[in-house]
Amino acid sequence: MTQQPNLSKHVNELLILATLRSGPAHGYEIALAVERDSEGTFSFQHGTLYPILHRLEKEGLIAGAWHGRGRKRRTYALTSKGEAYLVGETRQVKSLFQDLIRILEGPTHAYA
Amino acid sequence: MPTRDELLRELRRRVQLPAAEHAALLREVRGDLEGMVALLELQGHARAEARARALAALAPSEEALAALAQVHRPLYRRLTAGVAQGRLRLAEVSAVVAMAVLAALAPVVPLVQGGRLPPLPAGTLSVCAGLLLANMGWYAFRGFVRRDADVEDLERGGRTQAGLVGLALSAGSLALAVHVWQVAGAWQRGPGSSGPEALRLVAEASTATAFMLGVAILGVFGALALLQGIMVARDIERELGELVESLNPREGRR
Repeated sequence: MTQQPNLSKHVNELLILATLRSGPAHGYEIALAVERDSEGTFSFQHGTLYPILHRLEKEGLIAGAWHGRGRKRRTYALTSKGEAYLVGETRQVKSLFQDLIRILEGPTHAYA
Repeated sequence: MPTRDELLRELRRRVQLPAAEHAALLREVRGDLEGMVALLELQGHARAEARARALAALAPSEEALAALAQVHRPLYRRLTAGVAQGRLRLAEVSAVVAMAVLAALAPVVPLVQGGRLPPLPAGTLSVCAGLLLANMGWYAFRGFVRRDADVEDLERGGRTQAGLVGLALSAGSLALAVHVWQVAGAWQRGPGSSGPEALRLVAEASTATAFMLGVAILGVFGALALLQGIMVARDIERELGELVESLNPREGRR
């Protein structure tokens, strides 16, 4: 059996990348957008957003930058590598869920 | 609401990030907390509710901090993760001691090879040079490679550095004074017969002075590097103070 991906971790990454497709955003804007667009199904709590953001940045999928005078704030933007990754992973997740739904809705097999 | 010092102590215990990343994280979380509270208030939420929602969403939990520490783990720690920590520390300290011994011996080896023992001030200066290099090397290693030096560590390193520079200057000044006294003695015996002797002593005095100044300059550069590390660490504390202030429930404070 092949190793299954950590789906919840994967989904969090894809939610962030998908949100940044609309344009650069601060961390809190990403958190609020995800909660709003999913109507509360997905939400980031207890600062779990930050390790994911920092990891995506290290992997080159997003780019962080400090903005503003005096008290600077950090924004993140999707990179072209991140865009390509998002397209590929979206396809994989779609296929995964289609297989899952097929099994859940399909006829059960009779075992001797 | 915890005080700034309580929060500092708690963060130092929980957050195992290198100093620069630590300061950056605090700055980012502070900015996002302020931004989220402002946006939620604009959307019509009461300040208390906005603050509670922002803290619930953004204040990093133990789990989030542990995950951040993994993301920002320095390369050295990743490479040595499989090595027993006791052995690793022994190897690190041994390397620094070896560097110090080599640095201390290097200037006196020519004297020893010539069958002469170095005079006490020159020997002390060599030892100071070795200890200074060891101190700088240790804190540079902890600051840039292992990346686990906090502000108290750096301040301790700075005090040691200052003490060693002082000792080097004292030893060097004493060596210079001894040489000057010897030159004066040689000239008193008569310039004709003691000319070469006096020149040799002047050369040794110049060498001792140059060595002392070199050691002192090295020490000062090391102290400046430590000072920069201390300023970064102090930055964390300032960011933390501002973070605590931004969470202050007093009305009208932003």
